[in-house]
Amino acid sequence: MTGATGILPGSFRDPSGFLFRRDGALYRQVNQVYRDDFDLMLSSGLYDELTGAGLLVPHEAAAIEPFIADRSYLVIKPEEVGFISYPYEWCFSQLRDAALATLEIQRRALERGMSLKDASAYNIQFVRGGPVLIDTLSFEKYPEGKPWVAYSQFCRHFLAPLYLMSRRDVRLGSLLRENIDGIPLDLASRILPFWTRFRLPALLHIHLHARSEKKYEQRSVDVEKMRGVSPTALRGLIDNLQSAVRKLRWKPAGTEWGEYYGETNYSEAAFQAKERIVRDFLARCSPTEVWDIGGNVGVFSRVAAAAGAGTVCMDVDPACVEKLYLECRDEGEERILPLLVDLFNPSPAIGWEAKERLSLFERGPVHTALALALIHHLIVSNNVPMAKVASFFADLCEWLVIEFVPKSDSQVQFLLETREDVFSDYTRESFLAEFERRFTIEASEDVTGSERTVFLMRRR
Amino acid sequence: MKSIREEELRAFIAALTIPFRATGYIGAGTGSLIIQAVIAFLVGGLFVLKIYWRRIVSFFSRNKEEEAVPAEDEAGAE
Repeated sequence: MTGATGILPGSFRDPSGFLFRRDGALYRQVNQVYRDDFDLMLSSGLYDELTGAGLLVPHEAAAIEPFIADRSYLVIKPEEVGFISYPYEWCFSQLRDAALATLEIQRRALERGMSLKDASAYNIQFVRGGPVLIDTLSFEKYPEGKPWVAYSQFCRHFLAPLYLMSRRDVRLGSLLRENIDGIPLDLASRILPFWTRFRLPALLHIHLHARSEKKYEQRSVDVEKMRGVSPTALRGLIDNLQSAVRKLRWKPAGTEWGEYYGETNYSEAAFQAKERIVRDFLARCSPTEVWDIGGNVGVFSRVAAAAGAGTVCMDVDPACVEKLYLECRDEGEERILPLLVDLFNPSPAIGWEAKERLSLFERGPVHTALALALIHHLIVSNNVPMAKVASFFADLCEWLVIEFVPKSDSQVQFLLETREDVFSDYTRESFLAEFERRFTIEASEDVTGSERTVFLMRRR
Repeated sequence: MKSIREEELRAFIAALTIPFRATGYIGAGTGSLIIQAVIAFLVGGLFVLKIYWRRIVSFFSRNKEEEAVPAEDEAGAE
């Protein structure tokens, strides 16, 4: 995550306060300038209401020295989030639920005389399966007549990517990685299908919004003479955004959810054998946290979650991530966080000084990694040498549950159909040699009814 | 049915007249603030209509429930 002591590199923009670590524990300093708003959040009942509804991360007062004493009002200790994820790693419904949570928070804040002063998607994290606002300092007193200052940010961070994913192509969600403060509305307007101009919410919040931004880009306007927004109209704006987001849906074209499971060459018996082996191996390493790399629809993430581990299931297929998220949400499965991760091009560090948002691997290492039915994709599909695969996992985790898939396996043969077999080091001997240099093999078991073997390894 | 309350009407009309000073640590953008005022006025109007429509619907459905209850009582008394 970050060093044991110091201000978190992504926490510098808002003068109201910042996050810091001391002796490894996470704290938030609330600055004097934010005193009135912070007190109002508590006295208005907003804090109790939002934490009670699971929409805001709870905190307790921390009787410790502030990090920057001359600015400090007080220090709080927020409940820590297990794994920090970013909007470009979320599937469609995760972003949609995060948007709805933000709007619901704003609706409730307005009822108590406060308003969100920012609507950054990075302020939302998935905690126990659901979207939660983690920035306790996001509220300000709502002066009647003032427009919502975070409206533009909400449209860039949530509405534009949701429209693009729903109405054009789900892969456009990755534009959030290129645009750290949300997708520019003029870009969204250009990419969206023409017919979206005939739908009121898209016309207003994206297309006309983009035109107005462009029109007044270089013009100076006397803000004192600008027209405001009445409380009723502002409630109407939030209500309209809520119904616009609720109407947005995404489903992979021409497929049924049930068709999504990548492994097709396992018999039912072999599949159950593999499940039992993974369960046994996980029981031996007692993981606190698991990353299921290339986890598909999360079959083995569920095994890890059942073992009590907070599990991040990473896959490159948006449909797999979407399917698992919807299932976990509907079942109330709180331990699994499905994320969209391309292992061949994982999330880099981005933002100011390339430190604001952490790369995927800066958020590790993890106690246990699962690499099941994965190695042939790394070596054959992506031409990664065996030594690099082994060193990658040695940097990633302490314990590793990895499946060796031999070249003779039908899935590997399928990958080799369209490429020359240049993978001379893709052998069981080479696999064992490279991994045993970095790991000790604690256990191994052949998967009955297949040519595959699952290994439990511990880093040396 | 209640008529539209005066304070709501006043607040609604005020949507185009309340002046404000743009503040906040994130730049809200002039063009965005201008269009927000227009959009909020428009959808705010729809919002008020929606609220009153719900009140009308619930007023009539309540009347129906009230009619339905004595009918059941009569049936039960037989």
